[in-house]
Amino acid sequence: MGLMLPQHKYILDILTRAGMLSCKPVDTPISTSKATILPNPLFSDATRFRQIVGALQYLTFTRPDICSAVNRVCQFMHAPTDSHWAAVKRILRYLRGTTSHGLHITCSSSFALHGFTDADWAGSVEDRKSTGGYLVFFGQTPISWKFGKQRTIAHSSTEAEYKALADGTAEVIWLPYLLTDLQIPSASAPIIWCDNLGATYLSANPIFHSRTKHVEVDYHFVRDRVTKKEIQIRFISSQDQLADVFTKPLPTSSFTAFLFKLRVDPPPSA
Amino acid sequence: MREKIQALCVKRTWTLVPFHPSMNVVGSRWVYKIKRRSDGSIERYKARLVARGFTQQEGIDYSETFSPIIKQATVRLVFSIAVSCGWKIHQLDIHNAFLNGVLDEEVYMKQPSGFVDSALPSHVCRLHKSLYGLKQAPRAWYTHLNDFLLSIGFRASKVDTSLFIFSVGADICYLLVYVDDILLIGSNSFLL
Repeated sequence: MGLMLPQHKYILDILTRAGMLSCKPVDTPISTSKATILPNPLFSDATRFRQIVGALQYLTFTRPDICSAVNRVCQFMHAPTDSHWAAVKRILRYLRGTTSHGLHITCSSSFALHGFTDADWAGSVEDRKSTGGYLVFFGQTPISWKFGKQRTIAHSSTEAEYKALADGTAEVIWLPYLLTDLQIPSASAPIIWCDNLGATYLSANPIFHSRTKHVEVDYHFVRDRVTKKEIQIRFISSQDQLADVFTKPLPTSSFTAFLFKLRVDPPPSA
Repeated sequence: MREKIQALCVKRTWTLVPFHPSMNVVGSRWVYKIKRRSDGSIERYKARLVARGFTQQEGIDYSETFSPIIKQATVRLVFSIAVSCGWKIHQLDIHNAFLNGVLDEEVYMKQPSGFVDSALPSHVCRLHKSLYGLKQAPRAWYTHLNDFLLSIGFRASKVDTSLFIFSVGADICYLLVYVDDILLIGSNSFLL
């Protein structure tokens, strides 16, 4: 039961445009092998790269599973290289195997909001900026997600996680306002799960002052909201961290498990 | 194409006025599209008259162009509520949506090719309604729809301006606007 939101035809159209309709499917959208920083020749057809990647962005509406992979290639729209094109082809091969998957909106018994935030510290090989993101669930359905490179460089993994937490907080603060407008009684304060102990401590208490005094003030609105009891922040182990799928390339086994939790399902068999 | 011109006339999109050198006249074009069914067979041929909005000048031909779009999170949230509560979801489509928007600015356009008035060939079209391609077309349409919905009792959401809510007693109905695609979701099918 529930509602499936697949973009089956759209995926096939993209694959046709890219001439990848008969490619060999793979299980994950990102290769787990380390990215190289070797100088790479520029991709010969940048326009084609931009067209395909631009089309893929519209697919992230129903496919949180490719959100991070698409974001990674989007960062090189201005000057794509051959290895970036290889990454795009990897996403297309993954889509070839999952054309009829879609976001599955199921009946939830609870109307509670909970979010996951995660970041990888200095994950970008080009400029050592961190990437982070959040994933917000309403009951059992993921409704909002974002993943992207952070604008400033983080001194520590805690700082990177704390920034991701700030982004996630902004989102879970906004959603209850929306629920109020929709006249849906909201349950208890939204919970955000974060897998960095330092960041969870920091949200409750201004400790580690010497190492975090440079953290910009606007990020500290997290602490403000926690004090006002508008949100709760709890620690979660990295294995159960759902936003993990956004920040790092995962091997097939754990990726498939995430796919199930992200509610990206194949169509129900007839 | 004739159908389209008729639609344009019915909605009083423009009136012909004599040309004056101080006017910035934008060009127009016909855009054709073949609409196919999902099996690839041809459903109908579609013609659309578009204004060449890139020749418009800011401050003269248009001022504000911003038009809100529904947030993805809102759509998924409302879907999730609808599924959990077992509500019906309806989809609406507005024909020639942009032609309903009323223009605040004075915009002049060349007469469309193939349909030049033989009695007044040197006249230009003074546009009253927005036309596809104009910079302010989406905004004019949104404003028009917004005014209409508010007049029939809808309330615009404060946090997502493309979401409209209508409630009577315990029944509630949400209206989500994505330019000219509209989703209507509600607890009471009679209300819808």
